[in-house]
Amino acid sequence: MRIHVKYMGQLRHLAQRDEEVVETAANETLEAALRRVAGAYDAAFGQILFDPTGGFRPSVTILINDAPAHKSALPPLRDGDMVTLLPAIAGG
Amino acid sequence: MNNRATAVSLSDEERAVYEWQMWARGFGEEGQKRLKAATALVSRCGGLGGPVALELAAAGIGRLIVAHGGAIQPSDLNRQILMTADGVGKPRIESIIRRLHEFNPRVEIEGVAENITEANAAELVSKADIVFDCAPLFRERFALNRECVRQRRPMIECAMFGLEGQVMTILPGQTACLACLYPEDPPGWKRQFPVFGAVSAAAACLGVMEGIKLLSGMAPAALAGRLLYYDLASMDFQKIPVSRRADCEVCGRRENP
Repeated sequence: MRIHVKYMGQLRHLAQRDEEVVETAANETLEAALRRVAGAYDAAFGQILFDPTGGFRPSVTILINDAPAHKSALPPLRDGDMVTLLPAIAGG
Repeated sequence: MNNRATAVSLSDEERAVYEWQMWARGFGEEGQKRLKAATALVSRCGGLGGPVALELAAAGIGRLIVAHGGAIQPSDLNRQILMTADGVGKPRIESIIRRLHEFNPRVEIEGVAENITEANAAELVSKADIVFDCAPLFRERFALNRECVRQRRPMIECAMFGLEGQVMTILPGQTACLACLYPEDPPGWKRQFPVFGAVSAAAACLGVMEGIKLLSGMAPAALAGRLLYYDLASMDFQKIPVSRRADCEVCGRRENP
């Protein structure tokens, strides 16, 4: 199964790309898939996205197919899902 | 929005200056008078808050409180349109006041030569009808958010990074506040970030129109409880609903019913 992951803000800056296609295993959660992805980038990428327990940080907004997703109740991934990750920004 | 507008009148000069915007549907002379009767606080007047203050002055806000500490750096000048090259090394607030006054001498301006802190937020917010949050540090943003919620002042939240920006209108007691959106101090945020002035100014202009609508009553704030996120690389704009958190430490219903 493949999902599209779109990065915004500092995540885009750290990944040096706008988006990428991520292969996910059957029944793999979004958290698990993105933890794998984060391993390919600078440690700051993972620190922005995940808290020390490995869960998504509350300051990151997650959209699935353009709709806000509740991090405590993420739906199962479906082939072709577009996941957008918006970290907090404060530039002025 | 404010009852002081009934005691305000427009001079012939003001009617001449603001004539074209008074043609806007729902605004008119009544909207202009309400704007003239209003006070706005702008937290930092850099790449984002500078154009906010300038557009509010252009539109004829009655009073501006502008807060910005420090001295002008060469690296300010790619975006901070209220700063001038001859002011490098001098206090930013001097340039901010001078530029705003030159542009619209009818606007009353109070300059504060410091950034928002826990110590000054309460007093500054108390003097404003609306607050524009444009600071580059979360601690300043959170301090302002707490006071706006406590004092029930609308806050226009504007921010940017790279080619992206966002605007959200916070109406305390009605919509999500900044701490609902960001319940923690986001890790990894740095004072220095990639920025073009035009990206900051885009957020500024969008935020100012939310403020003008609220102050004048010409239309509802379209971004109340919604985060407008834009990406000027793709020119995509999206409105994302942001819900109040019942357990929000700032505006949670238990603490602030």
